[in-house]
Amino acid sequence: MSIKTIFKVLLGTIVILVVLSLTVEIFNISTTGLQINQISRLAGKQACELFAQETYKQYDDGGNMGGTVNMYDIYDANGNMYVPGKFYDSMSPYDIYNEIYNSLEFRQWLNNGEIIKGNWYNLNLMKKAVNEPHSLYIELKDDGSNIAEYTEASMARMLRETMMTPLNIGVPYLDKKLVNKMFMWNLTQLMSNCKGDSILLDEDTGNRYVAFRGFKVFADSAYITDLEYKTFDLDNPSERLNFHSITNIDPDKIEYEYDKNLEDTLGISQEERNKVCLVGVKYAIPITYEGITPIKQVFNYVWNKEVEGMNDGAGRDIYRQWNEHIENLESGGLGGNLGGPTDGVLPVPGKLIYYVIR
Amino acid sequence: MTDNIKFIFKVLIKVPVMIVALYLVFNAFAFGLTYFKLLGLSYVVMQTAVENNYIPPLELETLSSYLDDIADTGVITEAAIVVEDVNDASIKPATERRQYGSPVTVGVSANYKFIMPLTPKEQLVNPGEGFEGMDKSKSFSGYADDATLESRRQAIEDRKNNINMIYTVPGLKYYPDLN
Repeated sequence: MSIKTIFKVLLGTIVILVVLSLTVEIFNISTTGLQINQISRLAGKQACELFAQETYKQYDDGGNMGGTVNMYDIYDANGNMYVPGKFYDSMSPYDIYNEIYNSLEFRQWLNNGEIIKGNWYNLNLMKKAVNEPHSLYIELKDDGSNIAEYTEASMARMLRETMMTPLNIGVPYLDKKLVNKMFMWNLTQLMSNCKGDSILLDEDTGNRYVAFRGFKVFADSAYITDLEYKTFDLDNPSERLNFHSITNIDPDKIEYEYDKNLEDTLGISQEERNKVCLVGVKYAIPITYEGITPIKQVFNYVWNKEVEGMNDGAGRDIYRQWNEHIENLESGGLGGNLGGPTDGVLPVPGKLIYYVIR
Repeated sequence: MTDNIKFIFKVLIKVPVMIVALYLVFNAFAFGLTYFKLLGLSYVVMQTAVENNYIPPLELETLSSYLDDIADTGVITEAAIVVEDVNDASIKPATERRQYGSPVTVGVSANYKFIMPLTPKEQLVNPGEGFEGMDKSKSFSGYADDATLESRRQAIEDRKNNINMIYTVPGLKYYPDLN
Protein backbone atom coordinates (compact mmCIF):
# COMPACT_ATOMS: atom_id res chain seq x y z
CA MET A 1 0.00 0.00 0.00
CA SER A 2 1.52 3.28 -1.09
CA ILE A 3 1.72 6.37 1.06
CA LYS A 4 -0.72 8.03 -1.33
CA THR A 5 -3.26 5.29 -0.66
CA ILE A 6 -2.79 5.56 3.09
CA PHE A 7 -3.51 9.28 2.95
CA LYS A 8 -6.48 8.68 0.69
CA VAL A 9 -7.92 6.19 3.18
CA LEU A 10 -7.25 8.50 6.11
CA LEU A 11 -8.87 11.46 4.42
CA GLY A 12 -11.75 9.35 3.18
CA THR A 13 -12.40 8.03 6.69
CA ILE A 14 -12.37 11.54 8.13
CA VAL A 15 -14.73 12.84 5.45
CA ILE A 16 -17.13 9.92 5.92
CA LEU A 17 -17.15 10.36 9.72
CA VAL A 18 -17.72 14.10 9.49
CA VAL A 19 -20.46 13.72 6.87
CA LEU A 20 -22.16 10.99 8.90
CA SER A 21 -21.95 13.05 12.09
CA LEU A 22 -23.35 16.12 10.39
CA THR A 23 -26.13 14.04 8.87
CA VAL A 24 -27.05 12.68 12.29
CA GLU A 25 -26.95 16.19 13.75
CA ILE A 26 -29.18 17.63 11.02
CA PHE A 27 -31.58 14.74 11.44
CA ASN A 28 -31.63 15.25 15.22
CA ILE A 29 -32.17 19.01 14.95
CA SER A 30 -35.07 18.47 12.55
CA THR A 31 -36.92 15.92 14.67
CA THR A 32 -36.06 17.22 18.14
CA GLY A 33 -36.66 20.81 17.07
CA LEU A 34 -40.23 19.93 16.19
CA GLN A 35 -40.64 18.13 19.50
CA ILE A 36 -39.37 21.10 21.48
CA ASN A 37 -41.82 23.33 19.65
CA GLN A 38 -44.69 20.98 20.38
CA ILE A 39 -43.70 20.44 24.00
CA SER A 40 -43.31 24.14 24.66
CA ARG A 41 -46.73 24.81 23.18
CA LEU A 42 -48.20 22.06 25.34
CA ALA A 43 -46.56 23.59 28.42
CA GLY A 44 -48.03 26.97 27.54
CA LYS A 45 -51.48 25.66 26.76
CA GLN A 46 -51.70 23.70 30.00
CA ALA A 47 -50.42 26.72 31.96
CA CYS A 48 -53.32 28.76 30.55
CA GLU A 49 -55.72 25.96 31.46
CA LEU A 50 -54.41 25.74 35.00
CA PHE A 51 -54.63 29.47 35.55
CA ALA A 52 -58.16 29.52 34.13
CA GLN A 53 -59.24 26.74 36.47
CA GLU A 54 -58.64 29.10 39.39
CA THR A 55 -57.58 26.33 41.71
CA TYR A 56 -56.88 28.80 44.50
CA LYS A 57 -60.61 29.11 45.05
CA GLN A 58 -60.84 25.54 46.28
CA TYR A 59 -60.64 25.22 50.05
CA ASP A 60 -59.16 22.36 51.98
CA ASP A 61 -60.46 20.95 55.27
CA GLY A 62 -58.58 23.59 57.26
CA GLY A 63 -60.22 26.45 55.40
CA ASN A 64 -57.08 27.21 53.40
CA MET A 65 -57.00 27.21 49.69
CA GLY A 66 -56.43 23.85 48.14
CA GLY A 67 -55.92 22.81 44.55
CA THR A 68 -52.52 23.14 42.97
CA VAL A 69 -51.43 26.37 44.60
CA ASN A 70 -48.14 24.92 45.72
CA MET A 71 -46.52 22.46 43.40
CA TYR A 72 -43.24 20.90 44.44
CA ASP A 73 -40.00 22.72 43.64
CA ILE A 74 -37.81 21.34 40.88
CA TYR A 75 -34.18 20.68 41.76
CA ASP A 76 -31.19 20.30 39.45
CA ALA A 77 -28.66 17.46 39.37
CA ASN A 78 -26.66 19.10 42.19
CA GLY A 79 -29.68 19.42 44.46
CA ASN A 80 -30.14 23.16 44.01
CA MET A 81 -33.58 24.56 43.33
CA TYR A 82 -34.07 25.24 39.64
CA VAL A 83 -37.71 26.26 39.28
CA PRO A 84 -39.97 26.99 42.25
CA GLY A 85 -43.30 25.22 42.47
CA LYS A 86 -44.99 27.98 44.41
CA PHE A 87 -47.16 29.82 41.93
CA TYR A 88 -49.03 32.19 44.24
CA ASP A 89 -47.36 34.45 46.81
CA SER A 90 -50.20 34.40 49.26
CA MET A 91 -51.96 31.59 51.10
CA SER A 92 -55.45 33.08 51.15
CA PRO A 93 -57.83 32.77 48.19
CA TYR A 94 -59.12 36.29 48.71
CA ASP A 95 -55.58 37.72 48.85
CA ILE A 96 -54.70 35.86 45.70
CA TYR A 97 -57.84 37.14 44.02
CA ASN A 98 -56.95 40.69 45.03
CA GLU A 99 -53.38 40.22 43.93
CA ILE A 100 -54.57 39.27 40.47
CA TYR A 101 -57.66 41.40 40.01
CA ASN A 102 -56.58 44.55 41.79
CA SER A 103 -53.28 44.80 40.02
CA LEU A 104 -52.03 47.44 37.64
CA GLU A 105 -51.83 44.80 34.93
CA PHE A 106 -55.52 44.02 35.30
CA ARG A 107 -56.46 47.70 35.26
CA GLN A 108 -54.44 48.20 32.12
CA TRP A 109 -56.09 45.19 30.57
CA LEU A 110 -59.54 46.63 31.32
CA ASN A 111 -58.53 49.71 29.35
CA ASN A 112 -57.19 47.70 26.43
CA GLY A 113 -58.97 48.76 23.24
CA GLU A 114 -59.83 45.17 22.35
CA ILE A 115 -61.51 44.63 25.72
CA ILE A 116 -63.40 47.91 25.55
CA LYS A 117 -64.59 46.82 22.12
CA GLY A 118 -66.35 43.82 23.71
CA ASN A 119 -68.44 46.07 25.97
CA TRP A 120 -69.53 43.12 28.10
CA TYR A 121 -72.00 44.14 30.77
CA ASN A 122 -70.54 42.15 33.64
CA LEU A 123 -67.00 43.13 32.76
CA ASN A 124 -68.01 46.77 32.89
CA LEU A 125 -69.31 46.10 36.39
CA MET A 126 -66.01 44.54 37.35
CA LYS A 127 -64.26 47.60 35.99
CA LYS A 128 -66.47 49.77 38.12
CA ALA A 129 -65.66 47.66 41.19
CA VAL A 130 -61.93 48.01 40.58
CA ASN A 131 -61.82 51.67 39.62
CA GLU A 132 -64.58 53.08 41.82
CA PRO A 133 -64.84 50.86 44.92
CA HIS A 134 -66.43 53.72 46.94
CA SER A 135 -69.37 53.86 44.52
CA LEU A 136 -70.41 50.28 45.28
CA TYR A 137 -72.02 51.13 48.60
CA ILE A 138 -75.11 53.24 47.99
CA GLU A 139 -78.53 53.25 49.56
CA LEU A 140 -81.71 52.73 47.62
CA LYS A 141 -83.83 55.88 47.82
CA ASP A 142 -87.35 55.54 49.14
CA ASP A 143 -88.86 56.72 45.89
CA GLY A 144 -86.73 54.22 44.00
CA SER A 145 -85.36 56.90 41.69
CA ASN A 146 -81.85 55.44 41.82
CA ILE A 147 -82.89 51.84 41.27
CA ALA A 148 -80.72 51.40 38.16
CA GLU A 149 -77.64 52.84 39.85
CA TYR A 150 -78.33 50.81 43.00
CA THR A 151 -78.76 47.58 41.04
CA GLU A 152 -75.56 48.17 39.16
CA ALA A 153 -73.58 48.96 42.31
CA SER A 154 -75.00 45.94 44.12
CA MET A 155 -74.16 43.65 41.27
CA ALA A 156 -70.64 45.05 40.97
CA ARG A 157 -70.15 44.54 44.70
CA MET A 158 -71.51 41.02 44.51
CA LEU A 159 -69.15 40.16 41.65
CA ARG A 160 -66.25 41.38 43.77
CA GLU A 161 -67.34 39.65 46.97
CA THR A 162 -67.96 36.32 45.27
CA MET A 163 -64.56 36.54 43.57
CA MET A 164 -65.97 36.50 40.06
CA THR A 165 -63.37 36.86 37.34
CA PRO A 166 -63.47 37.75 33.65
CA LEU A 167 -62.85 34.08 32.92
CA ASN A 168 -66.09 33.22 34.71
CA ILE A 169 -68.02 35.39 32.31
CA GLY A 170 -66.25 34.15 29.22
CA VAL A 171 -63.52 36.76 28.73
CA PRO A 172 -60.01 35.34 28.93
CA TYR A 173 -57.78 37.37 31.19
CA LEU A 174 -54.39 35.80 31.92
CA ASP A 175 -52.05 37.16 34.57
CA LYS A 176 -48.71 37.23 32.81
CA LYS A 177 -46.57 36.67 35.89
CA LEU A 178 -48.57 33.70 37.15
CA VAL A 179 -48.98 32.05 33.77
CA ASN A 180 -45.25 32.49 33.28
CA LYS A 181 -44.48 30.65 36.52
CA MET A 182 -46.79 27.81 35.52
CA PHE A 183 -45.32 27.75 32.03
CA MET A 184 -41.76 27.48 33.37
CA TRP A 185 -42.70 24.71 35.75
CA ASN A 186 -44.55 22.73 33.07
CA LEU A 187 -41.77 23.21 30.55
CA THR A 188 -39.04 22.09 32.95
CA GLN A 189 -40.91 18.97 33.96
CA LEU A 190 -41.74 18.05 30.38
CA MET A 191 -38.21 18.61 29.11
CA SER A 192 -36.47 16.89 32.02
CA ASN A 193 -38.67 13.80 32.08
CA CYS A 194 -39.53 14.79 35.68
CA LYS A 195 -35.94 14.03 36.69
CA GLY A 196 -33.47 16.55 38.06
CA ASP A 197 -30.55 14.51 36.70
CA SER A 198 -30.91 16.17 33.31
CA ILE A 199 -30.82 19.70 34.75
CA LEU A 200 -27.15 20.59 34.48
CA LEU A 201 -24.78 23.49 34.97
CA ASP A 202 -23.27 25.13 31.91
CA GLU A 203 -19.64 25.51 32.96
CA ASP A 204 -18.98 28.29 30.47
CA THR A 205 -21.80 30.64 31.37
CA GLY A 206 -22.74 29.47 34.85
CA ASN A 207 -26.36 29.08 33.77
CA ARG A 208 -28.30 25.93 34.35
CA TYR A 209 -30.15 24.19 31.58
CA VAL A 210 -32.24 21.14 30.80
CA ALA A 211 -30.39 18.73 28.52
CA PHE A 212 -32.86 17.58 25.90
CA ARG A 213 -31.52 15.38 23.09
CA GLY A 214 -28.55 17.53 22.19
CA PHE A 215 -30.26 20.81 23.00
CA LYS A 216 -29.66 22.96 26.04
CA VAL A 217 -32.98 24.42 27.08
CA PHE A 218 -32.76 27.25 29.58
CA ALA A 219 -36.21 26.56 30.95
CA ASP A 220 -35.80 28.81 33.98
CA SER A 221 -35.34 31.76 31.64
CA ALA A 222 -38.37 30.96 29.48
CA TYR A 223 -40.88 33.77 29.51
CA ILE A 224 -44.20 34.89 28.13
CA THR A 225 -43.28 37.76 25.85
CA ASP A 226 -46.74 38.99 25.05
CA LEU A 227 -50.41 38.33 25.64
CA GLU A 228 -52.13 39.41 22.48
CA TYR A 229 -55.84 40.07 23.05
CA LYS A 230 -58.21 40.34 20.14
CA THR A 231 -61.97 40.70 20.20
CA PHE A 232 -63.98 39.53 17.23
CA ASP A 233 -67.40 40.87 16.42
CA LEU A 234 -69.12 37.85 14.95
CA ASP A 235 -71.76 40.09 13.38
CA ASN A 236 -69.08 41.55 11.16
CA PRO A 237 -68.50 39.35 8.07
CA SER A 238 -64.76 40.00 7.76
CA GLU A 239 -64.17 39.43 11.47
CA ARG A 240 -66.18 36.23 11.27
CA LEU A 241 -63.80 35.00 8.58
CA ASN A 242 -60.76 35.93 10.65
CA PHE A 243 -62.22 34.25 13.70
CA HIS A 244 -62.91 31.10 11.70
CA SER A 245 -59.41 30.97 10.26
CA ILE A 246 -57.74 31.45 13.65
CA THR A 247 -59.89 29.15 15.78
CA ASN A 248 -61.33 26.77 13.17
CA ILE A 249 -64.70 27.37 14.80
CA ASP A 250 -67.51 27.99 12.39
CA PRO A 251 -69.40 31.06 13.71
CA ASP A 252 -72.52 29.88 11.86
CA LYS A 253 -72.69 26.93 14.23
CA ILE A 254 -72.59 29.07 17.37
CA GLU A 255 -76.17 29.75 18.34
CA TYR A 256 -77.46 31.78 21.24
CA GLU A 257 -80.93 31.70 22.60
CA TYR A 258 -82.44 35.12 22.84
CA ASP A 259 -83.32 36.11 26.40
CA LYS A 260 -85.72 39.03 26.27
CA ASN A 261 -85.88 39.15 30.05
CA LEU A 262 -82.21 40.14 30.31
CA GLU A 263 -82.66 42.97 27.87
CA ASP A 264 -85.80 44.24 29.59
CA THR A 265 -84.44 44.15 33.13
CA LEU A 266 -80.76 44.95 32.76
CA GLY A 267 -80.46 46.25 29.26
CA ILE A 268 -78.12 43.42 28.36
CA SER A 269 -78.35 42.70 24.71
CA GLN A 270 -77.97 39.06 23.83
CA GLU A 271 -75.63 40.16 21.11
CA GLU A 272 -72.81 40.83 23.53
CA ARG A 273 -72.03 37.14 23.30
CA ASN A 274 -71.34 37.68 19.64
CA LYS A 275 -68.19 39.41 20.72
CA VAL A 276 -65.57 36.77 21.41
CA CYS A 277 -62.17 37.56 22.84
CA LEU A 278 -59.10 35.45 22.09
CA VAL A 279 -55.74 35.70 23.72
CA GLY A 280 -52.65 34.70 21.81
CA VAL A 281 -49.81 33.69 24.10
CA LYS A 282 -46.36 34.49 22.73
CA TYR A 283 -43.34 33.06 24.45
CA ALA A 284 -39.58 32.82 24.14
CA ILE A 285 -37.31 30.04 25.36
CA PRO A 286 -33.53 30.50 25.28
CA ILE A 287 -31.95 27.43 23.70
CA THR A 288 -28.71 26.36 22.15
CA TYR A 289 -27.49 23.25 20.42
CA GLU A 290 -24.74 21.08 21.79
CA GLY A 291 -25.09 18.04 19.57
CA ILE A 292 -25.32 14.32 20.11
CA THR A 293 -22.24 13.21 18.17
CA PRO A 294 -18.55 13.90 18.94
CA ILE A 295 -18.43 16.36 16.02
CA LYS A 296 -18.31 19.30 18.41
CA GLN A 297 -15.21 17.93 20.14
CA VAL A 298 -13.62 17.14 16.77
CA PHE A 299 -14.20 20.68 15.53
CA ASN A 300 -12.89 22.24 18.72
CA TYR A 301 -9.82 20.00 18.61
CA VAL A 302 -9.02 20.69 14.95
CA TRP A 303 -9.56 24.42 15.15
CA ASN A 304 -7.21 24.73 18.07
CA LYS A 305 -4.42 22.44 16.86
CA GLU A 306 -2.74 24.74 14.38
CA VAL A 307 0.99 24.13 14.38
CA GLU A 308 2.92 26.99 15.91
CA GLY A 309 5.27 28.60 13.44
CA MET A 310 3.30 27.61 10.36
CA ASN A 311 1.57 30.95 10.11
CA ASP A 312 4.72 33.07 9.69
CA GLY A 313 5.60 32.21 13.26
CA ALA A 314 2.56 34.01 14.58
CA GLY A 315 1.17 30.93 16.21
CA ARG A 316 -2.35 30.57 17.56
CA ASP A 317 -3.57 33.66 19.30
CA ILE A 318 -7.32 33.25 19.06
CA TYR A 319 -9.19 30.42 20.71
CA ARG A 320 -12.02 29.22 18.55
CA GLN A 321 -14.77 26.87 19.51
CA TRP A 322 -18.06 25.40 18.41
CA ASN A 323 -20.64 28.18 18.43
CA GLU A 324 -23.05 27.70 21.31
CA HIS A 325 -24.68 31.07 20.94
CA ILE A 326 -27.95 31.12 22.83
CA GLU A 327 -30.98 32.06 20.77
CA ASN A 328 -34.62 32.39 21.61
CA LEU A 329 -37.15 29.87 20.43
CA GLU A 330 -40.06 32.19 19.72
CA SER A 331 -43.49 30.79 19.16
CA GLY A 332 -47.15 31.08 20.06
CA GLY A 333 -49.50 34.00 19.59
CA LEU A 334 -52.50 34.37 17.34
CA GLY A 335 -50.50 33.88 14.18
CA GLY A 336 -47.83 31.46 15.35
CA ASN A 337 -45.33 34.33 15.69
CA LEU A 338 -44.86 34.36 11.96
CA GLY A 339 -43.63 37.67 10.65
CA GLY A 340 -41.97 38.45 13.96
CA PRO A 341 -38.46 39.84 14.20
CA THR A 342 -36.80 36.43 13.93
CA ASP A 343 -39.63 33.93 13.48
CA GLY A 344 -37.85 31.84 16.11
CA VAL A 345 -34.83 29.62 15.67
CA LEU A 346 -36.66 26.34 15.24
CA PRO A 347 -38.97 25.33 12.42
CA VAL A 348 -42.77 25.43 12.45
CA PRO A 349 -43.63 27.98 15.12
CA GLY A 350 -47.27 27.44 16.02
CA LYS A 351 -50.22 29.34 17.38
CA LEU A 352 -51.03 29.31 21.06
CA ILE A 353 -54.50 30.63 21.67
CA TYR A 354 -56.72 30.55 24.69
CA TYR A 355 -60.39 31.46 24.68
CA VAL A 356 -63.66 30.80 26.41
CA ILE A 357 -66.83 30.44 24.38
CA ARG A 358 -70.00 30.90 26.35
CA MET B 1 -2.99 -16.37 -12.26
CA THR B 2 -4.77 -15.50 -15.46
CA ASP B 3 -7.17 -12.63 -15.75
CA ASN B 4 -10.13 -15.01 -16.02
CA ILE B 5 -9.37 -16.68 -12.70
CA LYS B 6 -8.85 -13.28 -11.13
CA PHE B 7 -12.26 -12.24 -12.41
CA ILE B 8 -13.88 -15.41 -10.97
CA PHE B 9 -12.39 -14.75 -7.55
CA LYS B 10 -13.43 -11.13 -7.63
CA VAL B 11 -17.01 -12.16 -8.38
CA LEU B 12 -16.94 -14.82 -5.69
CA ILE B 13 -15.84 -12.30 -3.09
CA LYS B 14 -18.40 -9.75 -4.22
CA VAL B 15 -21.39 -12.07 -3.89
CA PRO B 16 -21.47 -12.43 -0.07
CA VAL B 17 -20.51 -8.78 0.31
CA MET B 18 -23.43 -7.74 -1.86
CA ILE B 19 -25.80 -10.07 0.00
CA VAL B 20 -24.81 -8.60 3.35
CA ALA B 21 -24.99 -5.08 1.95
CA LEU B 22 -28.47 -5.66 0.60
CA TYR B 23 -29.61 -7.08 3.92
CA LEU B 24 -28.18 -4.04 5.67
CA VAL B 25 -29.95 -1.68 3.28
CA PHE B 26 -33.20 -3.54 3.74
CA ASN B 27 -32.84 -3.48 7.53
CA ALA B 28 -31.92 0.18 7.55
CA PHE B 29 -34.97 1.02 5.50
CA ALA B 30 -37.36 -1.20 7.47
CA PHE B 31 -35.96 -0.04 10.79
CA GLY B 32 -36.18 3.63 9.80
CA LEU B 33 -39.75 3.28 8.64
CA THR B 34 -40.79 1.41 11.77
CA TYR B 35 -38.88 3.73 14.05
CA PHE B 36 -40.57 6.85 12.72
CA LYS B 37 -44.02 5.32 12.91
CA LEU B 38 -43.41 4.32 16.52
CA LEU B 39 -41.85 7.69 17.31
CA GLY B 40 -44.97 9.46 16.10
CA LEU B 41 -47.20 7.16 18.10
CA SER B 42 -45.08 7.49 21.24
CA TYR B 43 -45.43 11.22 21.01
CA VAL B 44 -49.20 10.96 20.81
CA VAL B 45 -49.17 8.64 23.82
CA MET B 46 -47.04 11.13 25.73
CA GLN B 47 -49.31 14.02 24.81
CA THR B 48 -52.38 12.07 25.88
CA ALA B 49 -50.78 11.41 29.26
CA VAL B 50 -49.83 15.07 29.71
CA GLU B 51 -53.29 16.30 28.84
CA ASN B 52 -55.15 13.77 30.99
CA ASN B 53 -52.59 12.87 33.67
CA TYR B 54 -53.14 9.25 32.63
CA ILE B 55 -54.20 7.20 29.63
CA PRO B 56 -57.99 6.90 29.76
CA PRO B 57 -59.32 3.46 28.77
CA LEU B 58 -60.89 4.63 25.53
CA GLU B 59 -57.72 6.41 24.42
CA LEU B 60 -55.65 3.36 25.36
CA GLU B 61 -57.88 1.21 23.21
CA THR B 62 -57.55 3.58 20.25
CA LEU B 63 -53.78 3.88 20.61
CA SER B 64 -53.35 0.11 21.01
CA SER B 65 -55.42 -0.47 17.91
CA TYR B 66 -53.21 1.91 15.93
CA LEU B 67 -50.10 0.21 17.31
CA ASP B 68 -51.43 -3.15 16.17
CA ASP B 69 -51.73 -1.75 12.65
CA ILE B 70 -48.14 -0.52 12.75
CA ALA B 71 -46.87 -3.79 14.22
CA ASP B 72 -48.50 -5.84 11.50
CA THR B 73 -45.37 -5.72 9.31
CA GLY B 74 -43.45 -8.86 10.23
CA VAL B 75 -40.33 -6.98 11.33
CA ILE B 76 -41.49 -6.05 14.83
CA THR B 77 -42.93 -8.13 17.61
CA GLU B 78 -44.06 -7.55 21.18
CA ALA B 79 -45.20 -4.03 20.35
CA ALA B 80 -47.00 -2.51 23.31
CA ILE B 81 -48.05 0.77 24.84
CA VAL B 82 -45.96 1.22 27.99
CA VAL B 83 -48.06 2.21 30.98
CA GLU B 84 -45.76 1.26 33.85
CA ASP B 85 -42.38 2.41 35.02
CA VAL B 86 -40.40 -0.73 35.78
CA ASN B 87 -37.55 1.31 37.25
CA ASP B 88 -39.60 3.40 39.65
CA ALA B 89 -42.29 1.73 41.69
CA SER B 90 -43.35 5.05 43.21
CA ILE B 91 -44.96 6.07 39.91
CA LYS B 92 -48.46 4.70 39.58
CA PRO B 93 -49.42 2.85 36.39
CA ALA B 94 -50.47 5.23 33.66
CA THR B 95 -53.93 3.73 33.62
CA GLU B 96 -54.71 5.31 37.01
CA ARG B 97 -55.88 8.89 37.28
CA ARG B 98 -53.79 11.33 39.31
CA GLN B 99 -53.57 15.02 40.15
CA TYR B 100 -51.78 17.86 38.38
CA GLY B 101 -48.00 17.59 38.37
CA SER B 102 -47.80 13.91 39.26
CA PRO B 103 -45.34 12.04 37.08
CA VAL B 104 -46.65 9.48 34.65
CA THR B 105 -44.51 7.09 32.64
CA VAL B 106 -45.74 6.17 29.20
CA GLY B 107 -44.34 5.23 25.84
CA VAL B 108 -44.08 2.60 23.19
CA SER B 109 -41.97 -0.51 23.23
CA ALA B 110 -41.30 -2.95 20.41
CA ASN B 111 -38.82 -5.56 19.39
CA TYR B 112 -37.41 -5.00 15.93
CA LYS B 113 -36.27 -8.24 14.30
CA PHE B 114 -33.13 -7.68 12.28
CA ILE B 115 -33.35 -9.92 9.25
CA MET B 116 -29.86 -11.30 8.54
CA PRO B 117 -28.63 -14.54 6.90
CA LEU B 118 -26.81 -17.07 9.04
CA THR B 119 -23.05 -17.17 8.57
CA PRO B 120 -21.56 -20.41 7.19
CA LYS B 121 -20.27 -21.37 10.67
CA GLU B 122 -23.70 -20.81 12.17
CA GLN B 123 -24.99 -23.46 9.77
CA LEU B 124 -22.79 -26.20 11.25
CA VAL B 125 -24.03 -28.71 13.81
CA ASN B 126 -21.60 -27.21 16.27
CA PRO B 127 -20.83 -23.61 15.29
CA GLY B 128 -17.72 -23.69 17.51
CA GLU B 129 -16.07 -26.26 15.26
CA GLY B 130 -14.13 -25.60 12.10
CA PHE B 131 -14.78 -26.75 8.55
CA GLU B 132 -13.54 -30.19 7.50
CA GLY B 133 -10.02 -29.95 6.13
CA MET B 134 -9.63 -26.26 7.00
CA ASP B 135 -8.08 -26.72 10.42
CA LYS B 136 -6.83 -30.10 11.56
CA SER B 137 -6.89 -29.09 15.19
CA LYS B 138 -10.70 -28.70 15.10
CA SER B 139 -13.35 -31.33 14.65
CA PHE B 140 -16.18 -31.23 12.14
CA SER B 141 -19.57 -32.81 12.87
CA GLY B 142 -21.35 -31.84 9.68
CA TYR B 143 -24.05 -29.30 8.83
CA ALA B 144 -27.07 -28.67 11.02
CA ASP B 145 -30.51 -29.83 9.91
CA ASP B 146 -33.31 -27.49 8.82
CA ALA B 147 -35.04 -27.41 12.22
CA THR B 148 -31.85 -26.38 14.00
CA LEU B 149 -31.15 -23.71 11.39
CA GLU B 150 -34.67 -22.34 11.79
CA SER B 151 -34.35 -22.19 15.58
CA ARG B 152 -31.01 -20.39 15.23
CA ARG B 153 -32.54 -17.85 12.84
CA GLN B 154 -35.34 -17.34 15.34
CA ALA B 155 -32.85 -16.90 18.17
CA ILE B 156 -31.06 -14.17 16.21
CA GLU B 157 -34.35 -12.47 15.37
CA ASP B 158 -35.38 -12.57 19.01
CA ARG B 159 -32.19 -11.02 20.30
CA LYS B 160 -33.35 -8.13 22.40
CA ASN B 161 -32.99 -5.00 20.38
CA ASN B 162 -36.02 -3.32 21.68
CA ILE B 163 -37.19 0.02 20.51
CA ASN B 164 -38.08 1.76 23.74
CA MET B 165 -39.53 5.24 23.54
CA ILE B 166 -40.47 5.91 27.10
CA TYR B 167 -41.18 9.28 28.66
CA THR B 168 -41.83 10.27 32.23
CA VAL B 169 -43.91 13.40 32.00
CA PRO B 170 -45.98 15.43 34.41
CA GLY B 171 -49.75 15.19 34.16
CA LEU B 172 -50.87 18.74 33.44
CA LYS B 173 -54.57 18.60 34.08
CA TYR B 174 -56.23 19.71 37.25
CA TYR B 175 -58.98 17.45 38.56
CA PRO B 176 -61.11 19.24 41.17
CA ASP B 177 -62.39 15.93 42.50
CA LEU B 178 -58.89 14.71 43.44
CA ASN B 179 -56.90 15.88 46.42
